Amino acid sequence: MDMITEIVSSFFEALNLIFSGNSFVIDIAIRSIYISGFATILALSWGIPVAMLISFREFFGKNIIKWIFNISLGFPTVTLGLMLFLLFSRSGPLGIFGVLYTPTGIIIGQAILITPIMVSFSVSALESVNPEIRNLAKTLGASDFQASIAALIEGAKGVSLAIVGSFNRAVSELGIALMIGGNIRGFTRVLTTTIALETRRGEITQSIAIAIVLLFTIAGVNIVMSLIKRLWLR
Amino acid sequence: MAAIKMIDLKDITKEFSDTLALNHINLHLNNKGISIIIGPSGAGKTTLLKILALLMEPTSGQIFVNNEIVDNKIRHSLRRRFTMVFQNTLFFNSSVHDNISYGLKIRNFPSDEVEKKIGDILEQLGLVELENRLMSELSVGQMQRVSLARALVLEPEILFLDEPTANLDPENNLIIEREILGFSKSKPVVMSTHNTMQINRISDSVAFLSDGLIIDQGEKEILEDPHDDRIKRFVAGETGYQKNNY
Repeated sequence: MDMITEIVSSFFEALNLIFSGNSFVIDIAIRSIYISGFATILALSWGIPVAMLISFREFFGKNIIKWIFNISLGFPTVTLGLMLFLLFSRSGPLGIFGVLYTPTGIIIGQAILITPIMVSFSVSALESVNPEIRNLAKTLGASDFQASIAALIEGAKGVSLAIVGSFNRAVSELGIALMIGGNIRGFTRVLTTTIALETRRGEITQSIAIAIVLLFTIAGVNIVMSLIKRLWLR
Repeated sequence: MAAIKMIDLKDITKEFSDTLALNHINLHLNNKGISIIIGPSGAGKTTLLKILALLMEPTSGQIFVNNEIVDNKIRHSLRRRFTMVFQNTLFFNSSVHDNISYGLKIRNFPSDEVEKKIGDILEQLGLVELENRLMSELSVGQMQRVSLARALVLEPEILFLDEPTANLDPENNLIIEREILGFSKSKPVVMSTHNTMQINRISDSVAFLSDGLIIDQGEKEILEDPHDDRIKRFVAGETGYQKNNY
């Protein structure tokens, strides 16, 4: 059997594996979504306030901070994984927290990885909002904070793109999940680490099935966010 | 602070990176009628209105309300008592209803009172049928009427308007002027314009602004019998006077 035939055959076997409700596939997919989902929420919790600060305030060094976030967009996941491994390892400065080889460790690592995406894309979205919107909110009685929230709502379409982009980056990265999570079966094994493992073991059908699930997950999140944008952010 | 009786600007200067927008402005506004700030484009009218409405801090100088200096402690609470209508039809990207309700909700009015006030103001400005339309679907004249409704519904103690009838058709121009005149019977209005005919129709006092300086202030006669060459040139239509204004 040549390679093309094997791939096509594996593809159909993979679809069968997915739609027959294979518990192995479903378990890994759910773990990936919840780990990357939490990482996205964590990055959102600090990324949006930072983006609002950069977009709505004038301060010394603002452009340097924007530049740092922009160049961090391409930070290699393996390098970040190595740095976090050294921090979280038993003898490392943060070893006492015991997060190495746990889902919490992956969540923290992915949150750090996607923070530049969250901040840079959100800043870009918020800076495109008419700056007079904050003045409009203020003259209608809003405080500085409420006026910033009004501007955030105006830029919500762009910010939602930052959230989707961040989740996509988190769910599809390998370096941190492998180095911080350790790819422990039933505990820290996620979609990307499974694809790497199954491919190395020659289980191409399993690999393709998981890869398709990964693509479906990314597509699903994008569809949900598009629906939210269409219904809520007209 | 008790009812606002007067606003004074003392030696106000505003600089933007390389531009001097306002140059040592002194201005006294009392709580009566319609005060108009007139001048050519780029004179500093919008900047002056934003400073008066406490939306912008001056580079130097002081603002006094009822002879009390405006500092950061009272700025927000005082700002809630003013409302400004902006020159460019500025709106939240939502419906007419949501735009008008914003200020009421910020003030924590109960929802039934919010709806009643919105219903009343929409009727007053002939906007009832537009209540659920998106702002982006409206004409410029309709947008400006919604902007005015959004301000009036808050019952401000002073209304600031930045060229509220610029680029409007005669019908919308008439509606806006009627509302401004109605409001000014009980509360003061401060507005900018470069339409000298409008000054003849509605002004009680006038200040002429050019290159960030108040050249003259008084009643409308300062334009009918100008003493300064810059006002003469403006009235003659040489520096931004719109001859086809309604």
